[in-house]
Amino acid sequence: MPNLLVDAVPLPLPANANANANAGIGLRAQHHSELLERSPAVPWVEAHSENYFADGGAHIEALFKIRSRYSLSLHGVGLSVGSSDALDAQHLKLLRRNIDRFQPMLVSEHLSWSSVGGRFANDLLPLPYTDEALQHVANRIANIQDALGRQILVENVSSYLEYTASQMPEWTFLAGVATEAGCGILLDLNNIYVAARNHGFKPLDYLNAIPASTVQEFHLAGYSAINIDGQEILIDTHGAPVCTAVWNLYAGALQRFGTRPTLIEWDTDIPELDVLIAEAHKADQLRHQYGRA
Amino acid sequence: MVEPSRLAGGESLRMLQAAFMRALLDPLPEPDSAQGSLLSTCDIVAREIVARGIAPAKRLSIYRKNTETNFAASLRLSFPATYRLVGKDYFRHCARLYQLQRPSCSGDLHHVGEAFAEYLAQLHAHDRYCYIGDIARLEWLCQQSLLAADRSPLDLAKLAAVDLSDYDSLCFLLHPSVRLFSSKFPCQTIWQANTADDNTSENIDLDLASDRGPEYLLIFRDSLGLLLQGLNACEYSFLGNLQRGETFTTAVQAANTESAAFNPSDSLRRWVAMRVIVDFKLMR
Repeated sequence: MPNLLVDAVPLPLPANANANANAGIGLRAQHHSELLERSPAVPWVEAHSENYFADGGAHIEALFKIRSRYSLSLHGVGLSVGSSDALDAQHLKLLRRNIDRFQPMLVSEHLSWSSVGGRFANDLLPLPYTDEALQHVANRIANIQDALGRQILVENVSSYLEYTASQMPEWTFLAGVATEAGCGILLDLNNIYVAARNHGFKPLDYLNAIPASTVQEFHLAGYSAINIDGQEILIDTHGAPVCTAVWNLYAGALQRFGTRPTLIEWDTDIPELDVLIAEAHKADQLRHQYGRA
Repeated sequence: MVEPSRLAGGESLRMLQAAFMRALLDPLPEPDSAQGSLLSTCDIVAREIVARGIAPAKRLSIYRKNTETNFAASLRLSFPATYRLVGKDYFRHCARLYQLQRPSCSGDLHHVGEAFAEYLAQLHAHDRYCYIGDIARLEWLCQQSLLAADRSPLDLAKLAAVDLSDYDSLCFLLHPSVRLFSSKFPCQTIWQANTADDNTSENIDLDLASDRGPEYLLIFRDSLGLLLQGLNACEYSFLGNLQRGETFTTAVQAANTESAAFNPSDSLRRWVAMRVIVDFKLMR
């Protein structure tokens, strides 16, 4: 086995996918070998950053091979961007190592928090949308970008509650953080739809409040629904096909923002690779119909 | 170390987050009535959450359940044989008790199983499931082995160039994926029977196995994947000393105290060929 980590030989990398390329798919370990055997025509894949924090082994070797054929985005779920704890230096170091070794076109995290006092929920917990939190999160993202030596994107999350302390809608908070921190936005259209249904706002109000220049990626995914006290709550499971309403919202986003790298995300009950590719093709059709460069 | 420009995210954000985290990770007074009892334990958060048709405690319980589910799912990935041995319900129960005692301390879920074997060993120290902690410990070592760094094989020409007079200071380095394991239970057999793809069951006689003495295992990764190999007491002692950084000479002497039949050159040749030994250095 070549010593992939120690011999930092420059990789023969494919050109990065541009905004007008077709939709990419979320990379999951069970698809590694099929992706390498078949080399299906998807322009890029998105990997969860923490799934490749290991020093070596089969998954790391597979990602090197996949990266030699596809453009890559690294999507973090564990940095706890909105936490009031100090930034985790070790986590940042491992993320930086992945950026150096896999040279992704995009690096993203979530506009949420998951830890405090050293305890981690390992979930995407909502932030209160206050001036204080906005300033804190923007400062923290600026520090993260300094540590990583590059810009990151932050993604809006699904949520199942709102805080009484919030002083502004989520979209104002998100746009404010991007402006203050100088980061980009990964707009998850499923998360907007889920939050809109759970909290009673219009998804298009959200889209209209986000400056087009900040949006650098779209996510599309599926949700599930539960019933509490006779009221339906949508849960962001990433375990189902994209629903019609979210496809419509994607069409609206293409019209408002133009085309951006778009990803099909699927994290639970992961289907066959071809199901993901078929969803990506649906996104491509909408891009042809509604997108502009 | 990267510090946020401001020390903390303002006191009110920190207090809100601390209260939220208590609602997710502190034990509840009545574990079976999460919906009702959460309110009383999470007063601060309940006051901070908008109801909009659903009680704040019930909104919080969605996150409490997510936190529990993510943690248990991650443990299950690290401990498949343990999961199969104890069954879904008991595994989930143990996972939650363990999480409340030792919550995740990293944004990377791969770390959550670090103390799980120790937890299970203590839980079952004196009952008929006393082997379960060792099975979990074996599984944790297997995961560590799978995630360890890669390393090129030993450069034999470089080794051949070592001066005879330097042999006493020769230290061999093991592949980063090498882990050594010992147990008084037949863990390899139990582990294999519970990680096989088929659903055949096999009876393993613990008493019969314990008569054979302790089990020693070498765990490592080659280009095809994880390998578990049985070792005798000499080999276990020898590799253990190499792993602790002892010189070849010291490791051989220690192995010889276990059994005079230990053949250092055969062992060396075999483990170099298997890429268990991958490098050396001279202790000056």
